[in-house]
Amino acid sequence: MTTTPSPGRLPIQLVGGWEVGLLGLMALLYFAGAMINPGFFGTSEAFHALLRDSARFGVIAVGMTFVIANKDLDLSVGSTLGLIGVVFSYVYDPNHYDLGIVTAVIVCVLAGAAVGLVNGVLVTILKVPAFIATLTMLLIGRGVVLGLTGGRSILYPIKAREDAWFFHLGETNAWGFNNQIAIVLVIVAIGAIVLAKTRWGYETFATGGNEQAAVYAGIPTRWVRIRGFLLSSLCATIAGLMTVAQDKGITSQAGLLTELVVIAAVIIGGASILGGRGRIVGSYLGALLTVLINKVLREGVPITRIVEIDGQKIEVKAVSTLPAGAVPAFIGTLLVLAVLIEPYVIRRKLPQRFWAWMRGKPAPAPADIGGVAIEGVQTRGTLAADKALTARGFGKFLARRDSLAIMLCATLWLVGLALRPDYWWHLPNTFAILLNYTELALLTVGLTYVIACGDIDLSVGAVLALAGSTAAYFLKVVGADPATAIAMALIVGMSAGLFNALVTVGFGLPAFIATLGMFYIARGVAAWIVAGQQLTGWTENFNLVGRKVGDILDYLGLPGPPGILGAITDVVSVQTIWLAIVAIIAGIVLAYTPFGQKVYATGGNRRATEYAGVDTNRVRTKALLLSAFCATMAGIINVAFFRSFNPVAGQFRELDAIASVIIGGGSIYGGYGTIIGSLAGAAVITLVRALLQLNIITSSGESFVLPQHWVNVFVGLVLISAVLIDIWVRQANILARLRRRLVQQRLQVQRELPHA
Amino acid sequence: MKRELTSIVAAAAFAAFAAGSAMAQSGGVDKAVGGYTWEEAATEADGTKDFHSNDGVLTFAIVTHTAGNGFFDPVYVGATVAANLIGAKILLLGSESPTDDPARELEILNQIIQDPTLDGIIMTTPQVGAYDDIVRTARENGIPVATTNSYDPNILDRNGISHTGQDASAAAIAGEALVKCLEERGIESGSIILPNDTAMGNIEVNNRVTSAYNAIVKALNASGKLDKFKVDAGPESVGVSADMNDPVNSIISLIESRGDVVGAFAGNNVFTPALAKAVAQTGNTGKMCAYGFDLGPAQQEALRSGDLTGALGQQPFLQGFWPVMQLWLEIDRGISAANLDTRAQLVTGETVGSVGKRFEN
Repeated sequence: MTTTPSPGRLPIQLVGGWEVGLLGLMALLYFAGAMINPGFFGTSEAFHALLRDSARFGVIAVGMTFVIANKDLDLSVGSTLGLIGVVFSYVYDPNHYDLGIVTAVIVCVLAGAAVGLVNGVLVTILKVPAFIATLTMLLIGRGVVLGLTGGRSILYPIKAREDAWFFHLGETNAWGFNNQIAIVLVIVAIGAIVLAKTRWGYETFATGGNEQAAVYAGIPTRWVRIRGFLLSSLCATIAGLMTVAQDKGITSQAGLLTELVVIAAVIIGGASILGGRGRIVGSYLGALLTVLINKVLREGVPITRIVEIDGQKIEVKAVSTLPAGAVPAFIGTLLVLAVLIEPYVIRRKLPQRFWAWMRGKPAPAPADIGGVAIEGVQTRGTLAADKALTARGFGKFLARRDSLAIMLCATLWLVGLALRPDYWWHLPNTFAILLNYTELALLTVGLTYVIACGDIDLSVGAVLALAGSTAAYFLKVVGADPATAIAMALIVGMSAGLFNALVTVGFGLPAFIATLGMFYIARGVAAWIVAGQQLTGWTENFNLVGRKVGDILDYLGLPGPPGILGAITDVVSVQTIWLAIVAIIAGIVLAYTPFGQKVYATGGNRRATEYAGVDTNRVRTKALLLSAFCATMAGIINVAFFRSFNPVAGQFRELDAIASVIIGGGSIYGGYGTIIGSLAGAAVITLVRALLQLNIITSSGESFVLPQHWVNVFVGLVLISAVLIDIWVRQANILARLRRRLVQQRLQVQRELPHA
Repeated sequence: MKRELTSIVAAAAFAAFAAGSAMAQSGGVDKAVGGYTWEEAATEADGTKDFHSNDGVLTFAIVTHTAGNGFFDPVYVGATVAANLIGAKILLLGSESPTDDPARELEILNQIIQDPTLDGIIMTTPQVGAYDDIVRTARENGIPVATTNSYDPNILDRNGISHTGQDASAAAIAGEALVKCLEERGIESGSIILPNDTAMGNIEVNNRVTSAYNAIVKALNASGKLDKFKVDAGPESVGVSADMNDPVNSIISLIESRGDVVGAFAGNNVFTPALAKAVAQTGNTGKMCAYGFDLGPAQQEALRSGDLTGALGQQPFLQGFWPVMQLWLEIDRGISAANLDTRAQLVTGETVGSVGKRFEN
């Protein structure tokens, strides 16, 4: 048995078989690239380009590996990259503070450390789940980037010449290779040694592997986790500085979606999202592989196209490439496959067994086929739930987890009323806001079930686009009738949900990874189907799905009902009614039926639920399917409402939807969440946006609108406040503790008084 | 009711217009169109000041599909300048996303169109078909609409809505210039690429790329050199796929992988500065014929340094300034919707000096 590690050998290594596999895959891809385009992949230039373009991802992946090995997650790295770029530019740019390069770098390092510290403190001391804490930082970081730049680029190529030594770090050096490659190699080397061979690394693996055991072993796990977040943010800071060094300026979109690329790279590199496992070299290879896929799939073969210009057919030489969307679709598939290989191929010793079978020898027994999903029981908030049983009247309402969102929603609406009493409450305005609310609200309905089950669905926005793209394709290109188009969209959208369920429930992968894979696949395929173009111009029959009731009556030539009913039909949209129906059914099912209770039970404590005889797999599958169903409906409505399909449909909506559910009292650990709460959470986000775009008229007659660039900062602040209040005020009952302490102090004073 | 008001306004304005032209004929230029103040007009026809909100002050809103990448800044400036000239209030709104987000723009429009103090809406229309309901509601509420920047030929009531913007065919100017640049530099073969984020689906940008592509192919074909060049704008002629979230590196990748790129065209404010940076970072400054769109500070700098051979300004200031004026003329003087083609201004390294800071918008 050579495969079991000898007791004397340390379990953690710098590299292992996984990295060899990655190298093999890369060699294959590289070879494929060389076959397609020998002029590029046949030269060292391609290798150089690969190393250079993956440098920043590689640097961030180093920090991310520490975080993931700690069993945490850092979604904020992309926005930290952008934020550092903007901070640097603000300090350095002659049109802003115009300070020296050293000052600028120091300020950036301090800012990066501050982000990491805030993440770490939120997660460890304030006990906010890492996913939520760093999602907040992502939103706030993006908001600050947009707010500070106002969306503009900040460029300083002339001043950059004065500090050539710094900006040279982003350029090709005298030896003919880009300095960023040197930077990433140094950081990977340091990171690999620190994680595999030093106390910091052992502490990280111990904390991520079993935090409780690590605490008993005397490891300061809080500090270890804070350190992970600090390293991650500092790596993102270095990547941000590399970006400004290369571009001598910053744009507002720098770092968009980088977090997902890096997380994918780290997971492909062999780290486990469940903590306790990960190697820096693997993560770096994962980053290289992701970039290599991008390069190879964007290669093409020479062809001759015949284009028609002014009625004349002309032959033009060109290069035929895969359509837009192929790259993300492939990366998503690879992500899921990479995670599946470990438990299903390596741990089950499939290669060895195949080899034995070939030789006619008995197959070795698989060491462990337990799967990857070693999930802890994480029921939280029982104290608050107990309190709800005894509370009365308004206290009963306050004890509800969704009370905060409902109150906030009402407050925001009243703010609107105070700002514009002349029309805010009017029927048309109310339904206009409801119309803006519908898409997000539909997504949150399905997501509430998924999150209550203890899973997550990152793919809702992408599935929305996929369903919309399918419907548009069938309407426009195939020329199908509306019913067929809707049916096809439902089939494709539900297939995406089935894939999510299969990979999550069937193969036992964490929902985060499965749906991150689907995020890439669905968005890629959506763009692929329509060849990246807008599709429009089909029968108005279909578009009725997204119209106002009055418009439909007009279209059908029916007279509108008289009086108040007529006024309502003129303003209410079909999708709003549809949302109401879906939400009411979903709300009743979740709150009052056995299935709803099974959902909460599954999310609250899956093992206990299974002992109670519930098929939790079926419950989770249904929840994921429902989420895909809601996203699909939103996609169909989106296409009908806009009378066209645009490949950017649903972009970034998944973040809004997750934030809505959490603001509405859902717990990222599962077991909680109500439809009313999630709808209120979605309403909070919609109302924040509505207020930011409201024409506010001052008493002196001036008009102004609030700065909309900061919208994500507001959403982030609402999100983190909601979570902090939930954890500290409701669950830890910090107010009652405070009161008790005050009462005790008073008693003590009273006791001491007579003696005096 | 609202419609009645509108027709009163129109009638009043027409009356004022007729009276003005009569005066003009009799030599009273001060009472010609534009010579009236609101108050003077109101003495002749009571309805003049009864535009939609009837609060004595004009309020316009301009809504764009991305306020997050700087392109629309000069548009907003133009709108503000125009509003100040006529004493109107202007609300500057737009999707906060750094990349195109027509869905957010629609949300903003849906809401503000209910605002009773609003007298006019200026909007961009990058997603075909999506804006019809807005136009209908605006018409029902008596709010005139003007479109700017991107052009939707099939929008409801197209003939009743003025459009200010550049015809995408203007991109042909850059295509022709690119071929001329190749001739001047004596380049006889190689690849010409037109990078664009084809997953972005901005109809206007796609049209520009197609237009530039067709011009390049036509010009090369006319000079009989087409078979020496590879001209690539993807299978749909809307661009070779590049990533708008990481534009510089994806254009560098294209240049490196094709190996023989001698010319490039980028169709918007995201890819043009990125193209210039890619030219500089691949050491092609002064060698490659690189053309792009818009005249922001980044493009001007790139023209000076030679990273960019030429850039087409679509005069965005005018795209904000003119629709405000147009709406004012419609409301005040009953002048019906007139379109303005802002055309293109081709600026090169030699002429960039004359585009001083004052005109960079």
